[in-house]
Amino acid sequence: MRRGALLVLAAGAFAAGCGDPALWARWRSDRAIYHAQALERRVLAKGSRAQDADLARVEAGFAAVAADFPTSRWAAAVNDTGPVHDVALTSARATFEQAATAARRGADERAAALWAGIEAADAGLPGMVVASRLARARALVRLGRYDESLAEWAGLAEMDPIADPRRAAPSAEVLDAPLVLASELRSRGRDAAADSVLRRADGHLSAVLARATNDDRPALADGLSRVRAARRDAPGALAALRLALRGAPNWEIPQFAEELAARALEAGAPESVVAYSRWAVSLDDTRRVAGNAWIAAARAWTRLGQPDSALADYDAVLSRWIDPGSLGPVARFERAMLLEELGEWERAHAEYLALQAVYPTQPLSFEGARRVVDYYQSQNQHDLARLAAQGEVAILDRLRASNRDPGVQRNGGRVRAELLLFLGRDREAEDALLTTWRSFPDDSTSEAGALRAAALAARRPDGAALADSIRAALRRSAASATVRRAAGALDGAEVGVH
Amino acid sequence: MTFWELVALGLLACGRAIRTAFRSAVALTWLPMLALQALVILALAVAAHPLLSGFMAPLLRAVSGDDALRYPQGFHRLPALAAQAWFFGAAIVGPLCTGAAARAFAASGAGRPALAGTALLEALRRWPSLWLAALPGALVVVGLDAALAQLAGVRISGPTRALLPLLAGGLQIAAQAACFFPPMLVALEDLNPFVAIARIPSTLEHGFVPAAVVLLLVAAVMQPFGWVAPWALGDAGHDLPEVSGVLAVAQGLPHAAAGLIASGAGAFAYLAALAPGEELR
Repeated sequence: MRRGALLVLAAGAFAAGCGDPALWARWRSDRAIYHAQALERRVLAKGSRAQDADLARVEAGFAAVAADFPTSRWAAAVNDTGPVHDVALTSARATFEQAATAARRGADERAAALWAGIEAADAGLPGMVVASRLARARALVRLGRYDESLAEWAGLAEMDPIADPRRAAPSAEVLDAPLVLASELRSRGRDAAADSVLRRADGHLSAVLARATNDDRPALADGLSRVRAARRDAPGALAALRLALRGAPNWEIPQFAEELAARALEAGAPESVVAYSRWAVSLDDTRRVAGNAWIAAARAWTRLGQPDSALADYDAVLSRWIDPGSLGPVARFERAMLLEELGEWERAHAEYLALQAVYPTQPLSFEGARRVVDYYQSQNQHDLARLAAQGEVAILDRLRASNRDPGVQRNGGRVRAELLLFLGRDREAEDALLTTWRSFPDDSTSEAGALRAAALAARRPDGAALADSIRAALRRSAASATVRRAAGALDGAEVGVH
Repeated sequence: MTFWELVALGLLACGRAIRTAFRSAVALTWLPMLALQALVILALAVAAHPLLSGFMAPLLRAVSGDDALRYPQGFHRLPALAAQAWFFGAAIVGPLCTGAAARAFAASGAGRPALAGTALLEALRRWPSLWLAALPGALVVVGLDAALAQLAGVRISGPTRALLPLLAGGLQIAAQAACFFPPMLVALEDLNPFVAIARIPSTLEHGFVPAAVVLLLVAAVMQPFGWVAPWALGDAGHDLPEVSGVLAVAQGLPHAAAGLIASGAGAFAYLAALAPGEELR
């Protein structure tokens, strides 16, 4: 009996010695972050009733997790995808959430420093580094440190999109980064730097593609193709997409054919667009493939100076299906614009009216109404223009009163403000722009509208204080970097924000 | 004895087992089963601890995947794991508790003091025999469960699929009723387990109906006490997943009570209808 007990004890001691301490560390870190996240959920559920003290408790909760499981220590130990990797990931996530909560409290400086810490420590956690770089880039924009923000985007663009061993697909953020960076550089007039970014991205993604597996290849080839399209390298963009096509299963080929058409259009190769569109339509006559292919072909024919073929393709979209879905407003609007360009105003006008009748809540429908006003104005038919604008304002008032859809409220509100400005009802336009901004504070178009409202307010004798407060709010929290910069100037109108 | 007399015997045996369980210490005979379940649940809950992970980690990974070693997924999976643990615990320790309970109930029925400790020690001595005697009943339950699981992938009509679990449940109760008395024969008559199993046909005439009544009653009473998932607890389950561990231990109580009452009712039914020269006292 005693020998049996000794054997059991020895077996127990042996088993205890075989335990993996990393498993227990992972369990404890999981538990710690679970409860920190539960607290965050409870606080965020309060919505606008959440106090800064509540957010401070959330931040402290995440900070405690990060302190118990230091990112630098665990990330340094990562050498596989086992429990140590999980602890490092949890630790980095805690720091990330701590920074996000700090940013939510308005402490962007502290948040940016924390995110920088993750970037520095987490070489083994590329997924977290990508998320941190993105969040830090946005925080730096809010802090007005634009060049540092660009440096974050540059760092992101140079990362390996397939480095994360737990990825489901190549990192979309890394693949988008060169395009975002190039676009931002171009918006500042730094075209040479933008070209250099795209050239480097081309080389980098080509190298990654060469060593990628079949699973990753389609997304990488698509990313490379978009970079080449942005470089206006149509043959290169199409060659990259054809690479993806080579390994794609049969059921994905129609979609790729349609993407080839769209990419050729982006890259400025209209002849190829027509060819790929025809191929896509022959493979699959669904709205998703054939519908988009016809739209791409119509745009290509327009560029090639063959409006009849373009009109025929728009007609194909509108007549092929009883309900062409989201393609309907696009086809009608673009056909109307084409007819307007061809000088067939009566037909174009009829098309704009049909657009409004069939799709009254679509943004393009509002845009169509605005174009009608612009047309009369351009023809010096001022009375007709005013009548059309007044009619459209009345329609938009009724629509916005009866339809609470955010898209209708936002786009309708913006167009209504523009029409009010045209009618010389500046005070009403100012109110409309401010109402839209307050309803959709994170929308860059609404922010640009608010900047315009500030300019309108500044012109009034009693509006200087309001103008200053709007600009200050935009400088502090606008999502759009362009608007932030513009808000720093004395008058938004002077820096070209309309 | 007529059919209805046998039904009445089953009901009377259940009633008497319940009364006895409340009055004496016989309930303690199922304590080992509860203690084992609590230990297993504790081990499952903190399986990642270095003292346990040496043998618990490979086991849990094989049964439920690596996530069972993480928080809170481990607690989310605990009810299902606790149900499996109870099943295996009942297969191993259940016969011991049944034997001890049968002896304690019989002693109490005879007017002697029902000493749970003594009954457990006596049952411990007969544990292998009790286990062998209970094996046919356990095999029938496992076999029918496996057959039912196989049917999940078979194309059958909706009504058939809905009725099959009921039919399987009925078959299980019938088969368990038929194999109900061998552990009683071992515990109360000190018979060899193979002899006890061989006597199954002779117990059917007067034992099958009371045993089926006892098992049906226990199954009916146990219906509301399934192994509850933590999210059934609402916010408490979400905010504090550990609650599911406490709940899983607590859920062992009704299961142990059901085992105790079934053992006691079985002992009384045996003494009344099957034991040579015995009457229900």
